Amino acid sequence: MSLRLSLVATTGLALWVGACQLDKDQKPARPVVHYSLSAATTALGDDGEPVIPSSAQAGIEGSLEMLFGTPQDPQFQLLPEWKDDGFDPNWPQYAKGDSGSGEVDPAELLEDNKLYWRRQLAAIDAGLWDRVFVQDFTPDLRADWNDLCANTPVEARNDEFKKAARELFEGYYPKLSASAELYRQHCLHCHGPEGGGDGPTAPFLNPRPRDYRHGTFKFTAVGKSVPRREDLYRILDEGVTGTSMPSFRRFSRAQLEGLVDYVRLLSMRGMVERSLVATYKEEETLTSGDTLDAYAEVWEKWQKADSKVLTYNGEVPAPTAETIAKGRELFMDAKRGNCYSCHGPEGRGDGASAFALDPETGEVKPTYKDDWGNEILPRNLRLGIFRGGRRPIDIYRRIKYGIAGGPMPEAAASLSNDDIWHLVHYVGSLSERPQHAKAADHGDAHAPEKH
Amino acid sequence: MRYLFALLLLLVPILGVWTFVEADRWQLWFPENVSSFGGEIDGLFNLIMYMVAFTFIVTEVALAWFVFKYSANRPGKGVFTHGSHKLEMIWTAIPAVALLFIAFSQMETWAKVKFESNFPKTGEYTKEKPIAELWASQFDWRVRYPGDDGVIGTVDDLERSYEFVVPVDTDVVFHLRSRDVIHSFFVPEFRLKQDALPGHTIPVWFRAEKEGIYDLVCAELCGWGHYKMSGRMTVVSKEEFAKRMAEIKAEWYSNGKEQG
Amino acid sequence: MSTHTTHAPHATPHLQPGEGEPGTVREHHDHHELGFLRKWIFSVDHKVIGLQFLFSGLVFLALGGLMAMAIRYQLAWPWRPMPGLAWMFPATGGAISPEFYTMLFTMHGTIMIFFVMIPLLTGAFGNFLIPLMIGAPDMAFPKLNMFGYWTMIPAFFFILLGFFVEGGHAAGGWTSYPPLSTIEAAAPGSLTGQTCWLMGLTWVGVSSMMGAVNYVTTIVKMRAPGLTMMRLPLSIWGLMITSLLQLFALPVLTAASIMQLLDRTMNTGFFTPTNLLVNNITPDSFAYGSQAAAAGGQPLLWQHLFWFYSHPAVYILVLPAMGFTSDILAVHARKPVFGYKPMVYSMSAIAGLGFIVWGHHMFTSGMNPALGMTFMVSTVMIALPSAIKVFNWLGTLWGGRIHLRTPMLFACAFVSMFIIGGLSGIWMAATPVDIYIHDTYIVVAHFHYVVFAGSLFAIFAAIYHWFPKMFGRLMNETMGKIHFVGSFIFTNMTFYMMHQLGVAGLMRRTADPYAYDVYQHLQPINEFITISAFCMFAWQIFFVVNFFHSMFWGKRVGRNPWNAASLEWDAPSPPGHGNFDKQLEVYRGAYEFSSPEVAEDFIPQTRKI
Repeated sequence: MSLRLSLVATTGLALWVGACQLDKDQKPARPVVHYSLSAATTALGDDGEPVIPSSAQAGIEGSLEMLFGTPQDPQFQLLPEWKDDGFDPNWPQYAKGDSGSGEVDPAELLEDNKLYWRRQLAAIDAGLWDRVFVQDFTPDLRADWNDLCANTPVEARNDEFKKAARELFEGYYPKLSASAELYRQHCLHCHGPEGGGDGPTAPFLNPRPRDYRHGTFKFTAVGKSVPRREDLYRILDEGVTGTSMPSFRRFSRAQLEGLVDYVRLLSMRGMVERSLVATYKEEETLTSGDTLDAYAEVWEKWQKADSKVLTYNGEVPAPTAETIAKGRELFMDAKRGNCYSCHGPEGRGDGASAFALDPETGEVKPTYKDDWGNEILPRNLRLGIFRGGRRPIDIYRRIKYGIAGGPMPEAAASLSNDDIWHLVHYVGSLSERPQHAKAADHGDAHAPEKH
Repeated sequence: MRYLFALLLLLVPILGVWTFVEADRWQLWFPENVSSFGGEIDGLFNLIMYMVAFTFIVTEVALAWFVFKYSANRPGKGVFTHGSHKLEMIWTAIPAVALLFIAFSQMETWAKVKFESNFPKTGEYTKEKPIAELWASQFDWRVRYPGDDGVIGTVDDLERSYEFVVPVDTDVVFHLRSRDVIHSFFVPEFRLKQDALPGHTIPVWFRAEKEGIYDLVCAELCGWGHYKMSGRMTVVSKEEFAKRMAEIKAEWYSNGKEQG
Repeated sequence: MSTHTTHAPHATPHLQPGEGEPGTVREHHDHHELGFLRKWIFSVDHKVIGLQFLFSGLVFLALGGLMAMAIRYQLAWPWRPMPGLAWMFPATGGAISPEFYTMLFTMHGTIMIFFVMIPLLTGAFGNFLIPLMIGAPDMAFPKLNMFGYWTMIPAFFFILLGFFVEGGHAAGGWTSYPPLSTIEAAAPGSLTGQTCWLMGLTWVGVSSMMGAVNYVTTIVKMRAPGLTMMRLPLSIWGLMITSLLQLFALPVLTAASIMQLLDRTMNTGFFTPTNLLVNNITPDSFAYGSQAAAAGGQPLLWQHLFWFYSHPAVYILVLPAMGFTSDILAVHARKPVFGYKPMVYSMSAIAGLGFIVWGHHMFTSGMNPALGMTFMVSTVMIALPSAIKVFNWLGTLWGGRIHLRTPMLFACAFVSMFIIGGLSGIWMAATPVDIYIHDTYIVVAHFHYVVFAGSLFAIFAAIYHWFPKMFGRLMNETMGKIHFVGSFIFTNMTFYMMHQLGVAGLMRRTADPYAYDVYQHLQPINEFITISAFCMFAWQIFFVVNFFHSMFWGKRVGRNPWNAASLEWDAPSPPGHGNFDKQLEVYRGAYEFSSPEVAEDFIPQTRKI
């Protein structure tokens, strides 16, 4: 029996050892993700037939794949006119002459990479090769590093090798496909494979994750234009407070820039799709010329984004009791600020015009819907949570230029810049806590527990 | 047969101790300690570990030895005994003393870290005047530094997400708060953990003794995005801290011309 | 026939099972064969009810085990297509979503504790062993006993229903801390799943309560003549103390679950503070989309109530296992249990102290730190009775004649693993150390060593040991040994390194820890653990095959295959209705092995010298 026993046990252990020895590539493979068409494209008409016949849908899908590739291999098709000025959006960090895509300062990237990969760099310097751990979500760097190591046996790793290794990490900027992988691991479950805001987690989030496919992003510095790189970067960097979008500063600057690249690709893909659908509905046919035109048009919008940036010329004034009081007046002034009508006289987001009685059901419903068709409520300003940021300039932009995709309008022309700053200060002051005691007010439940 | 099973049981203490000895080499040990009380906590951990290791080895080896030695193959009957009062007294009293020793050896450090009566009272930051408020919410960390008025909760507060910048070699007190569910502030390198309880303001203190960047981890399940809820503790020199605060302030009052 | 269908005709036909005098003799065993339904489904026979608990427990064990495998898969290779579950996530290409992961570990914990360990230990073995070991014909309240199992049916229903509701099953951890669990907007699993979870748990509680009342009454009132309390086998002591723990602690959990249920469905606010903003909902506001619920509650209140039950529950999970181990060690080592009375006292001490240590789960929760100190002292002291038990087990082995049969091997493994689980608990009890290791993998290692490697191994030991009594057949020894060796090795490979992961600071309950700088180098070790866990899971096939094969084709045995001394071995294998076929009279304790008084190496409790 001993013999049988040890035989079986040995087999089991051998199995285990075998499983551990499996090559990294033979471990579970990365899943294959597909882009699909949006619900608007595949919608059925009243007759139960698709509005856009399936042959045309297939055409759109094919064009999109040609222009943007697949989630495993995303890439921008090059426009002929880019050939001359050497612009290639597939290598965004080297992008020249594209104001919308902007240039990422290589020196800044280098500094950040040094910081981000500090553990790996220290291990390289110390020659502790098994401690150079390259995460799963940087597949291109992992492959490069493995190649480098495979080519040089451990005993032959001299200073030259160390230098090459350092350069690999310090100069890292993800390829679009690597950014797509990072997106898949950390963004897709909310934002969906096409950036449609429809991943598996999305139904449980309030507000819903952003649908990139409209090219509309709410909290930017460019008003209602498509965003600049910086705007998208800022969202990744800061997160959107009050929503389920956290800050992703845990990744390196290069990785976040890579994510921006990929989000831009998804957004453009969605815009081109919408444009093609609109064209088809108009002309009942699509040519390859239409596709390229739509593509070029969308690109133009994104390239112009940088010129749309909205700033304030002058120093941001500091709040005083006086400016806050003036802001209050404007807030309640129906002719000028008229903020109270939606945000409510106390700023609680319960203004009368934000709600309407549904005549059929007799229920009170929010009046407004955003561009994506979701019900939308005015912000409760007393919580001190401002999704686009609580900085004065952020609130200034929201008040002065409105919010893209939602009912928040641009400020009336009769409001001067100073008026807007007063409003900014007033709005900021709404979430102040009484300082004499830590007692109850908004967002401040009770006095601290005695320990 | 008994060889095999005694060996199996014997492997437990051998491999068990071996993995602990080698853990450091496999980077499976404490991350570097940078807080003033972290060393004490590590020391207490080690104290318990050595006492525990002794018991572990003795009992596990005895178990393996008995299984090996007192096999049914031996002739005759087993020892007929229902126990020994003396032995019971011994192995009640000795562990009792050891355990009480463990319990009492812990108290000082615990009081130092968590008792509000032991919080820094004289330095720049106190319980009443914290360096910042750290807000936890699903699924991010936001830091609120006081503005020019030195008071938190007013219109000129400076707010940053993700990164909590603190000066080195300074007793830092901050207020930990939660907006929605229970979160937990955990910086492995500080050996510090404190739940953020909605409805409560919990003061926390520490003193970081080495500059650097450390991960701030949420240690209490806070929903589907729990694993995403990361933050960063940045410890900088006092001069650098002043500079960073000035930068934060400048960015706060930016007019949008600079990036962002 | 129709007039006699309720019970077998006995010598005193008016006597219902359980009403007889202790040690009642059932003289006539030519009773009617009951139909399948009456015999196996609507049975009032404690042995059948025990088997019902055993089988449902083992089914849930497989389910909970599969969940553990899914958790391990995600931890080793995060966001890779999940084998078997990929069809649920077409958008992600088969990788699970993070909320699904939170659901997995929540339900793994819940199922393993409330639907596997408690039913197996107290439900299955409690029912099967108590009347047999005390020489009673059945439980004191056989019908209550039947209801005890039948109230598990709604529990099974709700706990399975939760997987199919919108948002999935509860995802607030098995501890279900509010407000995450009470506020619907807080997590997908808090939509409806959490309500199913609470209903399931409440029904389990009702079931345990019925069982506990029955066990205590039976043990106190129905012992065979001469079987004093201090002659009881330690299994019975373990089950009795467990039942007392349940009687005193369960009402608190039931009350707490009902409070949470009210918070969720009736808009009360026991656990909800004012002015939260969860997923843009303020539960206590009247704003559009909010609940206008009451608030001003205290999340810590739940933690206190929950742990007031669930810490004793930890001992519910281990005390019967300790009892089984003591019995099995004594029988197979052919030695009396070393220090019987200290064993009983230490079990009682564990139970008593178990009620004043719950706060050690809350050291970092924001509870008053002075309380933390008190809880630390009581928690550290609870290690003392556990230590006494370990020394006594070693004392039992010392000088014995050890037969290394499968049940003995599992019992020895229980001792070995319980030492690890018990000792690592001291770190957790020490408040300053706990600041660091709270909610890290060292905690996971600790309770898996106690509950998995400890209690589950004891359950395996008990199954191998009492299988002949259950089915009249032996389980195959070779298969059993193979099962043991693999389980023992792979269990340790799975759980031991978790200690070091915890020391490295790795958090529990994170779907993808590797995006943190401090944890990224831990992926290979997690891969090692995962492969070991897969092997360990696969290895259980030896148990499954052995179990079912032996049930029908195992070697037939007589009453007492192990030459054990306690009463259950005086009954036929398997015992008929009414258990014993002769008058019982007890003359001594259950552990008279190797006594010099007689030629054999054991004296049954009923043998008069």
